[in-house]
Amino acid sequence: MAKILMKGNEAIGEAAIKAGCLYFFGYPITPQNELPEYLSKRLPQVGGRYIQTESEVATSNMIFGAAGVGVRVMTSSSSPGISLMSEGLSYLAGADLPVVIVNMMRAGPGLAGILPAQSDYAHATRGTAHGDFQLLVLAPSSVQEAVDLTMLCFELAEKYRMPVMLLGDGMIGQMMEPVEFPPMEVGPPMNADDWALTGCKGRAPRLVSSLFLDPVELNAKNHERFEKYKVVAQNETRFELYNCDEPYDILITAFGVMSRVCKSAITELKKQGVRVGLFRPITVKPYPSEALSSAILKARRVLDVEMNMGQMLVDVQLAANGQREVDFMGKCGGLTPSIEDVVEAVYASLAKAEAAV
Amino acid sequence: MSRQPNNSLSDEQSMDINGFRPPEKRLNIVVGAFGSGKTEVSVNWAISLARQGLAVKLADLDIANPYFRSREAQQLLRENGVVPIIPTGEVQFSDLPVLIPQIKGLMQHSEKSIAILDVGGDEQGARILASLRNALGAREYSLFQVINSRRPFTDTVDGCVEMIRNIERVSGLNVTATIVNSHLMEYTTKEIILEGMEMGEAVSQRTGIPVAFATVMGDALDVTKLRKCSSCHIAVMQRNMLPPWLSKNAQNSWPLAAGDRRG
Repeated sequence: MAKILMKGNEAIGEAAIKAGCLYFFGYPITPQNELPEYLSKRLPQVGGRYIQTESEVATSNMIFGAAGVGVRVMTSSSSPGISLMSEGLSYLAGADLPVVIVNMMRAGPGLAGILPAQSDYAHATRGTAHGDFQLLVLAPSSVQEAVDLTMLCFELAEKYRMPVMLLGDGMIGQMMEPVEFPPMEVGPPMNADDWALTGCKGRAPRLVSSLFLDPVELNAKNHERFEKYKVVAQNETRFELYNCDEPYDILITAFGVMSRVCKSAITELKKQGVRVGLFRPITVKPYPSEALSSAILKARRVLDVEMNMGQMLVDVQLAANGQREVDFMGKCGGLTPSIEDVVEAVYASLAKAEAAV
Repeated sequence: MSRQPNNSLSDEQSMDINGFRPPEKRLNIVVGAFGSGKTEVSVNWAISLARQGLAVKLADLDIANPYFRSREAQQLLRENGVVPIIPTGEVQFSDLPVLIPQIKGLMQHSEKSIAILDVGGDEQGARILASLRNALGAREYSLFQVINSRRPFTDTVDGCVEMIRNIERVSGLNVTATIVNSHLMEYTTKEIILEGMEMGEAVSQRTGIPVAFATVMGDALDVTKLRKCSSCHIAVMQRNMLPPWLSKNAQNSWPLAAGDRRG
């Protein structure tokens, strides 16, 4: 298929169509509006349904209903909207329902601003909502990767029967890049035959619910679900190593579009004779800790760069496990650390590494 | 990097190099499908005319896009002698449909300067024009529709004509010419430019709306060769709306420029 120029939001919408998603429910919020806008045009063309909900609370319950009857469904929102959906996300996880949720993060906290930020890393990977559960969270760094990962999100959601989140930011959603859509064989939703509510004529009735009053049953359910999370962590962690084949003194950690600024900074630093590698988690939940640990041990010091106040820092520190010091540099509110900012921070880390000798 | 006009060239020479010609009318409204490149075309055109010594004002009427609006190039515009007509204060970082009084002023007064109005995408973005129709009155204007044949919904002649008709219906104004802005960023080829020009011609045959000019990014292709391949006039652009990983000058990168309150 020929390349076409698309906004990240539109491209994710088309990727969902290509992945066989036929249902979208959502409520408008900047900076992800082009995604529902695009699907409101496209879904009717492929026999699907688009509904603008009355609120994000309604959204999360509508995707619960759709996933419960075994159809492929997605929603998208941005930071405050995802907060409003959070209770429903816990219900979806508690009922083991496969849905895809897109979060195009904007600056926070509160109503804050509409410019891009990585303000919901902690929300997506740790504190999504009440109860014991995890999301599977993938963070793209380009429009093409957003397309590829959106398709993967649907596959993983169905394979593991769990909510999967695509964690982008306003920049991924708003910027335009050439993309192509890989051919994908699309069948009906997989793994739904023995639980989805498809009509009980000729078989025993089923129930899709997150209500478990019996403590023994609930305890067992949660243990079973966390065994599944272990399998997901074993099979599905994804990451990128950049400029790590040669020896490096500083290892930068960054996710999403932030990693692209860091790559440009690494190119600059290379010209100045400074050796820097980059570790970019693609799955931020489960976190590729083992791979990061090995990469960290090859560096003298680590620099974590984010478009927030340091939300991924704790994951990097856990992977460093006290073996190396981790510095942090971040901007938020809609500002992005520039190439110069990153170069400067690398020199500062290098100076600290020298001083420690 | 200096953003000052290149004084080593005469106005005529520099105009000949980038090919942006002064418009026929003083009031020039730029519309088009979402993501067709209206802002990049408007900013390039305005800067080019200012460098030719003309008085130019660029008004940001984008009420559809949350980012990548011409207000983010305000510093660049001012440095090059273009007067940006944009909302001031923190409201400029909002996604509210802010219409400042100077815009009505631009439409009502017969100013000497050339005005370029950069309007938001699709019929939703063009809706703002309907509210300005009274201010416009009987004044003459040109309404340019920007077309990129590598964008969804305008990749066919039918799609382009439908987009033109939708924008005309909502705005109550008539499209007077098209600007062919076919590209695929770094993957742009000569074929894509020529394909766009052909589509512009086909739209013209169907609707009677002529192609004003086509655009090419200056660093991408051999413009001299392209000019031999088509009778369509070509204007050469430079990419101004750069993401932070492509910009060495943080003050001119997006969205840092939007956060720069010094302007």
